[in-house]
Amino acid sequence: MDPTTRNGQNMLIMEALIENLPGGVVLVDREKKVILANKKMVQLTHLPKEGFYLTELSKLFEERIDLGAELDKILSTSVSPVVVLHDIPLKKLFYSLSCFQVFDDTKNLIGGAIFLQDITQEKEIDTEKSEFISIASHQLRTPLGSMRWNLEMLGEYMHLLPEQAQKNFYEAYKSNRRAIWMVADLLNVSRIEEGKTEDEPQPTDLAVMIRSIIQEVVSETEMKSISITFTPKKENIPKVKVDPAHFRDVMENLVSNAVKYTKAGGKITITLDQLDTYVQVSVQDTGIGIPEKDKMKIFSKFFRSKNAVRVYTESSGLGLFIAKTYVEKWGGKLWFESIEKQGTTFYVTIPLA
Amino acid sequence: MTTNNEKKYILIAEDDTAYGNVYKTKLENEGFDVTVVENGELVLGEMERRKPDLLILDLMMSDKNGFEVLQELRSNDKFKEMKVIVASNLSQHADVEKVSALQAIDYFVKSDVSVTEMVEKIKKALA
Repeated sequence: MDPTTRNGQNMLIMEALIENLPGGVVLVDREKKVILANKKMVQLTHLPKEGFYLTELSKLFEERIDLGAELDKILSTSVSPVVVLHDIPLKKLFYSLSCFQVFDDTKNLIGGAIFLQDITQEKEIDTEKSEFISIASHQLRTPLGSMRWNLEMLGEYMHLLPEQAQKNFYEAYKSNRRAIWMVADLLNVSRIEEGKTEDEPQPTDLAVMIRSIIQEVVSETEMKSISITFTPKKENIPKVKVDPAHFRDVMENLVSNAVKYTKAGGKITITLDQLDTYVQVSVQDTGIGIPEKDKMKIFSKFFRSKNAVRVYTESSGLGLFIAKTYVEKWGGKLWFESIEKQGTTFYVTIPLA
Repeated sequence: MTTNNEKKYILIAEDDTAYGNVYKTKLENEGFDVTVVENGELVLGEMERRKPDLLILDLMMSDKNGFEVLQELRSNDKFKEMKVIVASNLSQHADVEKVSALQAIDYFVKSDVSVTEMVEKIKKALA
């Protein structure tokens, strides 16, 4: 490289930039041979700059990642170009690792790169946030609980009051119950974030559970004149390994959503089937549906579609986030099909025990 | 009152009067004798004064917490077999396990049960 030419100078500047990046970088060619490793990467890994081998780098991550395989994915051009892995532990700190394609200015793929960034501080902040939510939620339960009990005591005298007062009382009681549910959701989310879900999977009969959940909502569906049916598509569907209390939370969330967002006179159909190596539950409604532009965000924390908020203002927006986390923990999938103003069907699959 | 029973006596350790008043009113209505003490320090003294058929113990009291009270109880020969239900607003498995290890017969989260359910649990424990 000739530093006296314009090109040469540019090259020196680029090199200097790469060397001084606050994150570690490794560049490999299309055969996964290391072309360069910058100063930060060498510092983080204690591997030598000359003679920096991918296999040595992989070993440092204690087999959590197969770097070779990740790079293969990147370098086969038919695949989406960026792979990002978070919370990679390395010598007691936490990193985010990204693998991406590197193209030259004529759009030729010259190789791949690995970028390693220290996210330890972000992770600590996340943990503090979670702990705060946990503490706050427990504190909130105290006045909410005493409110609940005192309202229930008051309830015994409601028949002595005029109808309007009874309505006011009923609304106050419903709000209190909703607030208690929201606190439970917050606690669930903070436990998920802290990795303390206390999930204990055991062989569970889903048909029995689904029937009991339908029993819980039947008075509400009758009030709204919504028909709700449950159809197991086979006899003797085998049990699946899920935490019963958490699976119940998942099903209650899907069923109560169907009830909430379906107008009077609508229809809810729940099915249970065994397909091959897994069991599938579906919850179909003729409700408000999910707008196209919101479909990508439905499983995000706190997200609620505007059409849902219009129907039902108070809800944490956490139910589906929690549900998806649990279902995926059990090796299953949660997804939906929906047409706005026509209805939605949610599907849950769980692999057989 | 039933023919062969005196009223059963329930001692409740609960520092929040909003709960304490509900316990007292409701359980007395259901035919029980009830005393509510507002801190953990007073529990053992009260139990010596009159031995209850059942103790309902809040975990988070301002002075002595429910765990300590339960531990002291179990290390006292007189109260080793005392029926105890723990009522709290904590709900981690770790707390539930700690409390079962100390032979609490039931555990409930106050905000998650109705007054009716609370009464049922008490009746079940005294059956």
